[in-house]
Amino acid sequence: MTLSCFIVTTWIGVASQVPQNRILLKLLAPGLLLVVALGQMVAVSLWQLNPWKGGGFGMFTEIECRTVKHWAYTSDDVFHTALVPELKRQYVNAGTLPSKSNLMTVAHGFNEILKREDDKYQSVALVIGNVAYDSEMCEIRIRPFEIEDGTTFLILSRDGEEIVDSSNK
Amino acid sequence: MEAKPDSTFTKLYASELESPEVRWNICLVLSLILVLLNGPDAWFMRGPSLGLAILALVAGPLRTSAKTWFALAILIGSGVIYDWASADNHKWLIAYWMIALACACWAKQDRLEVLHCNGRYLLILVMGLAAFYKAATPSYIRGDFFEFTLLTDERFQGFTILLTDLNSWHLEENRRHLLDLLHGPEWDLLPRSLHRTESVRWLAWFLTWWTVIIEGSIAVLFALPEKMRWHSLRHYLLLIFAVSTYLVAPIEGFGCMLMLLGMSQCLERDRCFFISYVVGFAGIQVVGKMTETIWNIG
Repeated sequence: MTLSCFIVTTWIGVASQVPQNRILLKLLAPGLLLVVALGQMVAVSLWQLNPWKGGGFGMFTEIECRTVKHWAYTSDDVFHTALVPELKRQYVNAGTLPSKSNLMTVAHGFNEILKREDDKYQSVALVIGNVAYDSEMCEIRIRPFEIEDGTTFLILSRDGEEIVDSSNK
Repeated sequence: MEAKPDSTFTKLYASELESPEVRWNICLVLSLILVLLNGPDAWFMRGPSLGLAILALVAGPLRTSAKTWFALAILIGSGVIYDWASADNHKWLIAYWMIALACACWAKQDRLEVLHCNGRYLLILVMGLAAFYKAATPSYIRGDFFEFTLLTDERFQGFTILLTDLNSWHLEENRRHLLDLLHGPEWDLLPRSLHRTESVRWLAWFLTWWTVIIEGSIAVLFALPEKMRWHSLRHYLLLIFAVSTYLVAPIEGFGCMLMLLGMSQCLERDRCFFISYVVGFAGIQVVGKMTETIWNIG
């Protein structure tokens, strides 16, 4: 609340200084839209940003059913755990922008929750994927995102250290 | 004899709508209603923006002040940046529209011209970029997007059942396969087959090209110099787009925003178009809320 009041009062102060330049008044909003939309296109092609999000116009263009999955490993078993409501925001961020740092944030959050609830598990594995549709065969499957060159899974030990697994490549 | 007061009232009402001042006020009021219905999702931005919108609805001088609209732009824009990963595209567009209204209020006596220019450029960019994005995406042009959407998206279920030979059982099976893949326990690399018929492929093909063509045409027509010849065609296309799109997929925020952009393009003689946009604004909200209720009951 304080932050929003601060932003509003600051901007009103700045705005009252704006000269009544007709060209500026006519082009400010469309100019901003264009800059953001072009930036979003770059982010989609470089960083796998969800084309539906980020202020661009890629909605209703590509299939976007992104998902984050995670598993916990004990010494003799592996079990899948459903998404945790506490990490909803982190899942959304990782799904929209599938980067290693965003997945790492989810991994650390998930690790902390497991530590509180289960003392047997030794490591966690996470992956972000999207639905791929093959229109020739009329089939769907999950295609994982690369979060680093050639790497799709992120594996984290109970201590929060990343485990590099050669089979992950 | 009894018809006379009615016709006088109609004439008075019609001439009122030809007044730029009345139209300007309608635009402002509907923009505030849009903020009330589609404000920021972040609670700490939602409260101030709703409060300011309600105050501006009640107080005329606040409504015509550039500072009010600029403050709303900042609040909605900050909400969009805070929720960058989940904010829908129309929230961004509403923030730009708030900036456009602030600029128009700043322009004082030229406010209608400034609003008209902003609305026109925003429409060209929104429609042009959407058409460009679609045309430049190979999987979209192949028809994959609409095919998948018709087969699995709950929002399109009624439309798919009405126009293809798939029934609700097929579509529910498709959705079950999709949910299994997305939320199932295993990392399943095996593909799952969906139910599909030839009629779905044809419908998807039609929707794919219809959307690109109508969005591209609206962008081109609004980009052409403003002449009488294609002036009405612009409005007809925008209204046809709204009806054909938002009856099938009611996205209230974006649809109402397009209606406001259309209103800003109406000249004094465009009374019927202006009324159509106002009716469209209300209709999109009503259809959206009705669909939402049906989903909840379902």
